[in-house]
Amino acid sequence: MNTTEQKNLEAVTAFLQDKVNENLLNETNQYFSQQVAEAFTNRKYEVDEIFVQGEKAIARIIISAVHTGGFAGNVPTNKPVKISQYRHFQVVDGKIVNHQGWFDTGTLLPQIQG
Amino acid sequence: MNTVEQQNLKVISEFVEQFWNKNDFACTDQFLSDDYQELSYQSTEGLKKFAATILESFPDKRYVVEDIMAKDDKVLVCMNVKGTHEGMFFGTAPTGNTIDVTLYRQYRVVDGKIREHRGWIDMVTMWSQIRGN
Repeated sequence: MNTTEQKNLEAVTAFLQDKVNENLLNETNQYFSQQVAEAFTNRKYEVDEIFVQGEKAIARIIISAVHTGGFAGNVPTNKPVKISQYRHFQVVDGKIVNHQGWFDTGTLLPQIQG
Repeated sequence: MNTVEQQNLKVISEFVEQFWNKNDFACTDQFLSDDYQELSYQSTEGLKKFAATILESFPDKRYVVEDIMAKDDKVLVCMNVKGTHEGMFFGTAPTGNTIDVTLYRQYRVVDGKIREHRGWIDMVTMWSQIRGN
């Protein structure tokens, strides 16, 4: 990793560790993203891994939460779940210029299905 | 990016094309290490069986790599798959609907061989496209 990538990694890490940004992590382009925030409560965010290449970075975030609301046809189970999220960042001169998230539902559904 | 990382990217790009697009399932013999760990489909046989199911369900399926990044022995791939639902998919009869789904795969590559794989896919979006709602 070169110096610029190191700087970009630091910017992404700082962004993800700042609790002020947690609400931003609930937003994705997926049609059900608002449902995620409503159905899974008591959310805790943890950075699992970050890949950096030039101006790009992709982070995998693990959200621990409790399934307290309906999601994709599944009634609340009150079970603890772990939701994986990937978030892509574009970082220029150590500043995040845009980011876009994606929830993994392939590992989520089996946790809440009977 | 160092030389090993560049080589690892090349191995994964080739494997994705050969296995997931050209449907050469036997290429696992060439690409996977003897101690391969399959963390999403149980085993190498499980991986092949899943790929065969996908091919039967979506015969025109096409994977496009949108992002691929390397870090040490790890390679992360962000992909898109498009296809037409023309065969039975986990109990759901063909609908003729098209899917357009994002997925991620993470690999570990050691000495040019794939040692480990784990995958993530947006099944909620995929099922909603299959069901057409």
